[in-house]
Amino acid sequence: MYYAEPVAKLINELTKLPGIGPKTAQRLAFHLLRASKEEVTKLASALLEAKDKVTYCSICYNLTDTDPCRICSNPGRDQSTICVVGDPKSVVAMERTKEFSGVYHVLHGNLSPIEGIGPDQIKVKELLKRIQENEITELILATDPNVEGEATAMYIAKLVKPLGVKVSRIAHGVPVGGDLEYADEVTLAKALINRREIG
Amino acid sequence: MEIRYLHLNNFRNYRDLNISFYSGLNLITGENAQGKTNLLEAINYLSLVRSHRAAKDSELIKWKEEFFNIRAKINKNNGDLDLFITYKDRKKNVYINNNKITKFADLLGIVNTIIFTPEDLVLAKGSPFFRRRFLDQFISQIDYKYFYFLQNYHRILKQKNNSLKQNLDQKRQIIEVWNEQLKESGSQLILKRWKVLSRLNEIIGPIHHQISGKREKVEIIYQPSINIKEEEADLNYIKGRYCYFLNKYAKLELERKISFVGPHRDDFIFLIDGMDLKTFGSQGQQRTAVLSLKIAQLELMKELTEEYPLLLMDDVFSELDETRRKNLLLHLKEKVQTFITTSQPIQLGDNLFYKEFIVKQGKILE
Repeated sequence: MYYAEPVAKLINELTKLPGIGPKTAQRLAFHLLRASKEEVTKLASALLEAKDKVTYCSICYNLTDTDPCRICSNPGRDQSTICVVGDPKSVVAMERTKEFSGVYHVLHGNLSPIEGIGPDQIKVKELLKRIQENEITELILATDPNVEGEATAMYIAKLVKPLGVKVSRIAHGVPVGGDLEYADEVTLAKALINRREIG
Repeated sequence: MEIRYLHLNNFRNYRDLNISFYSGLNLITGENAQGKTNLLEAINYLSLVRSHRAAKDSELIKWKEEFFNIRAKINKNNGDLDLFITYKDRKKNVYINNNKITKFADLLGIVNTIIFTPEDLVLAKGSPFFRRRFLDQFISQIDYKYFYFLQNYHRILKQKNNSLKQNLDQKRQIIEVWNEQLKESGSQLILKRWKVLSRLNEIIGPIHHQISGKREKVEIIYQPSINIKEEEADLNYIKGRYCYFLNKYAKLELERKISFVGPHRDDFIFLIDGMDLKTFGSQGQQRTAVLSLKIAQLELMKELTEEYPLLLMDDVFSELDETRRKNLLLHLKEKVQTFITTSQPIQLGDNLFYKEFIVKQGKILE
């Protein structure tokens, strides 16, 4: 036994967090033990408060402390355009662009049979219901640009097409502000295929 | 392309080896279990930073040591470069001219190799798996896009096979979604394989004549799992055919829960005077055909990269008869830096320049 039991328990709990290995967990644990009781209490109550007060929005399934969330209940946002994303982090990324004035739908995952994630494990049914019950005119599919995200987008597109809603997929492209020579070949090839006319 | 100088530190049975190679033929001799193949393995490692015989890099570390380093001075058409690879604590770092390489794609094409070992006979007589692996490794080495589509393809295929085995409500739609993506990545693979194999087929004929000294006609024929007419092979045509076959087999795939259609079921065959080499060829014919394939690969790589790769022959040279050896060396002349290992003394012509290295217990006597 290297650690006193409570320390071992703390390290064990920390290791369960994403991106935290045994060494980082140990460093965090020793940091917390060195901190004042007040500091630790603040952290503990912040964890509990977040867990207690944050729920899923009953419309878009984003994380929120009010239901419906601040985006869904904002009269300034276009309720007829839905941007479909894989997780809450993507909402934050999209919001940062300040280019999108519609609303979101968070799927909480992508189709991935390897991990046992089928359509029932993500919020697809909820999306269809939302489209059928509301006046939705456009759907923007902004799932991750990998194999699973692509499949999820295609699957949703197939389901939604018969409902007469305009469906689009976000484009792949080269990063802005960089030199073209630094873009990888695959991205560049895709950007070339999806090029647009200018002038 | 050539390696001027190689330094090995704790690699396999080499504690500390400094070696300067000749730009033409390098003959690596010595008794069994002295380290000849390990030296070839180190040279080949420079190409994809992966061993062709060890599954894990940790196996390459000298017994009881904790790291290995490889340094090589490479001379290319466009100048010299210094390649340094270090492995420690399960981490691998690669430096080119002291700049750290962070993307695998940046490493591709720095050192290209073609390796020929006794196990390569499986290309003639083994299962299609070995011929697909040959194609995939070869094309990935020269085309990063192929490597990307290949990884993508196998990821999608794994997802599709998983979907086929599960009980899902919307199974048919979900399979369609995977098929749609398989078609995109898979068509790229098929097109590239078709181009490479048809060029190899053109090159291999004259090479085979020269090496074997015989009038046999060798052909390499691509056998994709979807039938394509050669004269029409462009991307859109292949996508169309792919779709057709996916639809044709959709029901069967659902029943048997296996993917029947796509590049993972491709193959190519060798014909000798119109006869299937795998079934009707002698051991000698098979060995010569594989040698011809490797040399054709060498020539094609020169065409595509404008530089000859390094040729590594592990223990296969002594298996060739004298005519074939002589013809092979005549073909390579001084233009390809070649590394040949052998445990038996071999007769090389008098007017042939080469450098001999005698390996003894992890040390080299020149």
